[in-house]
Amino acid sequence: MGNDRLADQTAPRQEIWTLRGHTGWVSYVAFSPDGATLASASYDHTIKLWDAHTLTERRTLWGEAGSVFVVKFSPDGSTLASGGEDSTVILWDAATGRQRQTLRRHEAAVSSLAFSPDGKRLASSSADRTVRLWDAATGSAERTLNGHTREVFCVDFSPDGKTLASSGMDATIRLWDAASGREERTLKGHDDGIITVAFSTDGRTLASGSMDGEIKLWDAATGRCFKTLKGHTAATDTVLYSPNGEMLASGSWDRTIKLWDAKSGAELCVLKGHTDKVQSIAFAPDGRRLASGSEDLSVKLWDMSEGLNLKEGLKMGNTQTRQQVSSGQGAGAQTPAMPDVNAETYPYETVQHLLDQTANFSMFAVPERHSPEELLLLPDAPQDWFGMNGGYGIVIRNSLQRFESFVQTPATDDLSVSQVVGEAAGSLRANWLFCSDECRWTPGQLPPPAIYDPWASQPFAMLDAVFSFGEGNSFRGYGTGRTFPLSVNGQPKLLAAAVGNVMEGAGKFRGREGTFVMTGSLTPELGFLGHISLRIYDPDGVLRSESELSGLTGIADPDPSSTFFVMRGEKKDRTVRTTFGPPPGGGRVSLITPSQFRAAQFNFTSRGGGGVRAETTVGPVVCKMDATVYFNLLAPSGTAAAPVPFSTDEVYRFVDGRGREVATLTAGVVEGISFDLRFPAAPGQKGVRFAGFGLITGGTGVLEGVQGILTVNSLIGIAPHALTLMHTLHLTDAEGRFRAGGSSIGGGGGGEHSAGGGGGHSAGGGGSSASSVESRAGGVESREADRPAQSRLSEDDPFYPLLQHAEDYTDMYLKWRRGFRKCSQELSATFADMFNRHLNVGDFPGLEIDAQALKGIFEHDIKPFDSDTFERYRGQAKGTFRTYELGTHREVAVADLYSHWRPETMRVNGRNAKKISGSFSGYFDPHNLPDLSQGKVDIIFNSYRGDVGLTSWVEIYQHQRQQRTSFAYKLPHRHEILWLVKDVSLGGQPIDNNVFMASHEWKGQHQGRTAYFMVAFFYDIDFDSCTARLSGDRYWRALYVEE
Amino acid sequence: MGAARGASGQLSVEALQALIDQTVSINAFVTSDRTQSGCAINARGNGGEIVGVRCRGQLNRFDIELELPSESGVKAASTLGERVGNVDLRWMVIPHSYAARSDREPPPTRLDTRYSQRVAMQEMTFSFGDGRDGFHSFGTGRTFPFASGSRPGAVVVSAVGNVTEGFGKFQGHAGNYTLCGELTPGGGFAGHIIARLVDERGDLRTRESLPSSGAGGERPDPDFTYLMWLAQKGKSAAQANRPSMTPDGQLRGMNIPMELKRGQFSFTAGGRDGFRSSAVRVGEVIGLEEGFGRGPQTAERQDGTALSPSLFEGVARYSFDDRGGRRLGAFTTNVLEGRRFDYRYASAPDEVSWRFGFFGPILYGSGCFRGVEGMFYGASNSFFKPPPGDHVITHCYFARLYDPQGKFRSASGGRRQ
Repeated sequence: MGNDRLADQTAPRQEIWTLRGHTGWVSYVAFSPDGATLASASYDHTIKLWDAHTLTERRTLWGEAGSVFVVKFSPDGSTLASGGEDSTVILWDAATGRQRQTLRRHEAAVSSLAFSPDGKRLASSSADRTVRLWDAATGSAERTLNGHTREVFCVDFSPDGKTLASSGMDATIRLWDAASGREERTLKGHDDGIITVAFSTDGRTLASGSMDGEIKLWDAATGRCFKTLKGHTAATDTVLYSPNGEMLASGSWDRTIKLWDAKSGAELCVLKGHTDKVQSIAFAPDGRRLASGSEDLSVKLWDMSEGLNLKEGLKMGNTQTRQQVSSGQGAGAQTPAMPDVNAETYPYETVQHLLDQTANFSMFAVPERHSPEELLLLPDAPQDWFGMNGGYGIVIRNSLQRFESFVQTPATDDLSVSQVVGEAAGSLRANWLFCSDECRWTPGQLPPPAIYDPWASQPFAMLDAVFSFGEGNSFRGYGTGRTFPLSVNGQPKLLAAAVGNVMEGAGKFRGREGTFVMTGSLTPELGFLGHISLRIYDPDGVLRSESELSGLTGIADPDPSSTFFVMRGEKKDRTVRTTFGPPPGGGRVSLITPSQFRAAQFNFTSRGGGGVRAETTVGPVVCKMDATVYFNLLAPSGTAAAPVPFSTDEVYRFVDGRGREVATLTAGVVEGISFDLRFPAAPGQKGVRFAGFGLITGGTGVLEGVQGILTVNSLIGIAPHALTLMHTLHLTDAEGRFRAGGSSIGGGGGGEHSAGGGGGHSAGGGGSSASSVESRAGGVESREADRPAQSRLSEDDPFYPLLQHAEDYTDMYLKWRRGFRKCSQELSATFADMFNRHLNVGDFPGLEIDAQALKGIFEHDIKPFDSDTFERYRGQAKGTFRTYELGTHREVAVADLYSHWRPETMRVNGRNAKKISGSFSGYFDPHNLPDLSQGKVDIIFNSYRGDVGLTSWVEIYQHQRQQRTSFAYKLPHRHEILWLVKDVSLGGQPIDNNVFMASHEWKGQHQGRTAYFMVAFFYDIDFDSCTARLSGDRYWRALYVEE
Repeated sequence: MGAARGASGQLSVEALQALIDQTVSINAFVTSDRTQSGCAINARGNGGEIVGVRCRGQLNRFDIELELPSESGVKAASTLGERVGNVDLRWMVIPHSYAARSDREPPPTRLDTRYSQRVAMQEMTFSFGDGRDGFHSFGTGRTFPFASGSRPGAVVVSAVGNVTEGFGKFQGHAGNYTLCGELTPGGGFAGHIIARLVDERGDLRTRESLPSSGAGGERPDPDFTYLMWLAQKGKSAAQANRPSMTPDGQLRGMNIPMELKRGQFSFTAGGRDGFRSSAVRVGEVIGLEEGFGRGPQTAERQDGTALSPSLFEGVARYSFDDRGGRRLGAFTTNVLEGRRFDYRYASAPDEVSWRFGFFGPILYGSGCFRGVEGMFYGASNSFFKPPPGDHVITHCYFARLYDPQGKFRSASGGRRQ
């Protein structure tokens, strides 16, 4: 039952208005000669007359019986003629809707009608293979034109009325002398039935559309076909010239309408919006509007004049799409004068800074384990079973978990997110009450109830929402949402999204403004499982952390079948201009804004001193986005009681590290709310905070065929138009196609903490597939088969102690990092100098280090997880280590080391982790190691955790038993890392000296093969004085080649 | 029968209950008639898209027996019995907002098995025995795609129909039915039908015992278990209906508690006597219904007639207890589509009786029904007066549960289907 409603949401929206009312396919549309009335005919046996200005239904006419296939106005507008399934032609009084006369001669369905230009004659075509001519005034039959050998589909008079054209299933067009009824010419050229034929306004050209999709243009005088227009991918059902003769419009079973240049035949524009076959189109007499009727039961109106310059539209990729007007605002509403949204009340950078004073929370909502039948919508009235959970609403009880979702650098074949759900940090209580499509934003009021229907797309109001984060920090919210039933891999999945406003805060939320938006799915137990983004405007920084927050502790993935791209958007810089697009009608305007999105970590916590607080770390640009935002510029400022609605059309273009587009995704907000925003520090500066959601409607590249939901949660300044956007692309992803390898822990068992316990590390962990994954790295394509997406580390795993060591060393890593931050100037200069002076030693050239960049890196926050670098090795690689004397650069030793990197990245204890082995005697799979006490192999455990970054722990068994640990800085080039390595006593204590090995590593090509290069020096570092002296008299360089 | 009247001249509750319990109940299962093929109705001139199905199904006797709920849970046995007749159907897919009527052909609407769609049972004729007895009917329903356990290419369908004209023994009998099963565009409908027909004259019922069910072969949906039970008003004050009011004092709907009871009925159509049914036997109380219902929510005119039945919807929880009153489990259902037809008994011309059918999903369960998946549907007869007036009713309830492990299937009694 909800299909139509769902279709409303999923349909690309380019029309300015949609007329609904027919319950069957709309077969024909026609404007009255004065343009005041639009008639539509339907398979539902009716003709509807619409006021073409107010777009309201005036009258419904019921025919004799059966479907109505055609309706036409007489040239003077007084008569309406219809024909259809019952074989009759009916003449109606267009003013009163009264039936005047029924013309009965055809022996099968009437397919088409045409009034002669003088209005005196009426031609009809029929499936009985005939064309009939009638006296339009008396209804008397004048003549029968025989010639077609199969059903006749269409008739049209030439503008001078002398010629009648007909077309049919016999793939011919026949031209008849309208006076005598003599057949003058037969035009052949189409390979299939010709559904439609139309004379140009000057009568010189005849256009025809066929079941094969082609449109042909014929010289009406000679009958020669001089052009074939190709573009429709299914039958062309209707062709029509614009009143000024400059354009040809065509409607097709491919659901589109195309506009063609009548002279050149060039395709000008495609109008998309119908969700089923287009059966008919009609230009308004003034040419300013086009109507279309479709098998999707709707009539759509398209604005051909209001700012729509077709050639401009073509240049802009038709991003100026149109919007269905909700209600109450007539199509004729005046478009306001457009303000300059780029004008600067305050400098752009100032406004951007103000907008960035936002506390951003990216949370994962996990349903609490209640029996659904224990929950009541009306807890104060337990005997009123209207309040049963699931009947007219759903009781939401969620734990709010920390969440990490970092978009990896896109590649052509790989677009993925490192996604981890962490520990609980808050809770959500709310009631979702389902309501009819007419329900509106009414905080504090129960909406008109509608029963929950899992198969329908239903709106709901979110009442009594309370977000709590402990220590009295909480807020009440109100919002609205909608369910979206989808079929994912042949299984039903009910997605749900909602948008809301912070209505009243307590504790740290007191007096604050904010918006939240959620997207996820409903579980079989009617719990909400999914992502929530919350943005609180926080000019005094109460909710923003000044220090780096700890990394989260991952839990078993509560929803392995969904992937969330949570990104931070902005304008690239002040030069990016926001422009107004063509007004969509209804008093609304459209703003076109190009922006770019970065991978980002929106970290938050409610633990430790200081209560709830959030921290945002921004990564590289991963996609560009063009958005058209539609809203009413003249609406009063949005308030909590009455926000201003908006909608959007958005195109996301994911780009690789070099800025090349690798995949696109289209989506649009269908339910958006916006609120006035003021900046205490910048009186007079206007702003808006807004949030909303809508369905993802398409994708290309690796995103082709994706399904899911877009949410937006944003703040903008207006004049200047600065942005800070927080968008989430929620993709249904049952196969984990968009998950960075191993980014999730375990499977199923929502809310269950695993923390690396239990299960063997070789198992896939259930849930996600073990599908093969292709990746492209450094120009070399590698295939990695059967990579488990999820792993665990059991206590009897030889790598388990290494994990524990890494855990124990957290404070030490942080201490060392603080030292490097403190001494960034000195150490960066010393390191860069030394490495750069040894670029040309040995068998490969070095890679220069930029001292200034390194200084910034030492000072900067820890870089977000970068799977591309973390997984730079895949499988086996042989390294040749050459040791040199400092000063002389004489090679004093050489050794080969065989390294084996497990391809999968595990997720344990909130870390992304990898097992590696190294041996001088050969390759050993870390999953199949010999007895370590034999001293044949060393084992290495590399891991990344948000608070300490990339670290490594090495257990050395070859030669002398040793331990070694490292932490690393990510340098600017791809796969470029600076490791700081420290020897550790077997008791776990760092060797009591200040010696670190600084190892510079990068990836490149050597003799045509992918190679990894390392150069290392030893330093004695004094963090008190910020000095670093070379230690020892040697250094080494290593060259690794993958095998 | 003569109906007992009280001092006010109105029929007593007992008399009204007896009237509605005269209703004949027909439990039948439709299997496809293998002699036919190609049920799909294709749209004319539209690339062969399917807009409906037209085919003949084989009507089989179908007996369901619910065990007395016990520690082992709530279980039922079902028996697919002998062929008792045919059902000829022409169903058309209809638009979401279309007001279907038996006297109007719906517009062609493409079947799309990805989405839940409405269907009009434009023609649905039941014929019993040698075909002389039966009825024509009309109704509407919905498809429910991707339901667990559905066969490939099939969608679950549930619908409510109304008898438009009886013939043979069924002439002059009003009635309605509800069905639930699977629809395949090529093979038509296969599933369960519960029909209830008013039988004041008693010419459809027999006091004689019916022959045992014959062998009807394999049911096409062996992974499903069918439960059947009745619901009637109990006598305690807690069983009184209570209005549900909005905060601003508007009537929102009605809270309607019921007692759940075991029940049994059967029919046959073979032999010299043709169609005949047993009376409904009402058994022990086995649980409680907590239900909320509300009436028409659309502007569409609804007068309770065959052409314009009244719509209703609601939510209810069905809790099942063992003999000691211990709660074994419960499930909650939403009735998405209910159709109510008004009827006046000849022996109670001053009272408006309601016949109705309904269906909707089972949302969730607890106890022995934890994790339950399936459809809930039924057909009922009642006399209703707003509180504090009397409510006399007998519901025939069914649950079609996805049960590949046989959790709800009796170990004995009835053939394993």
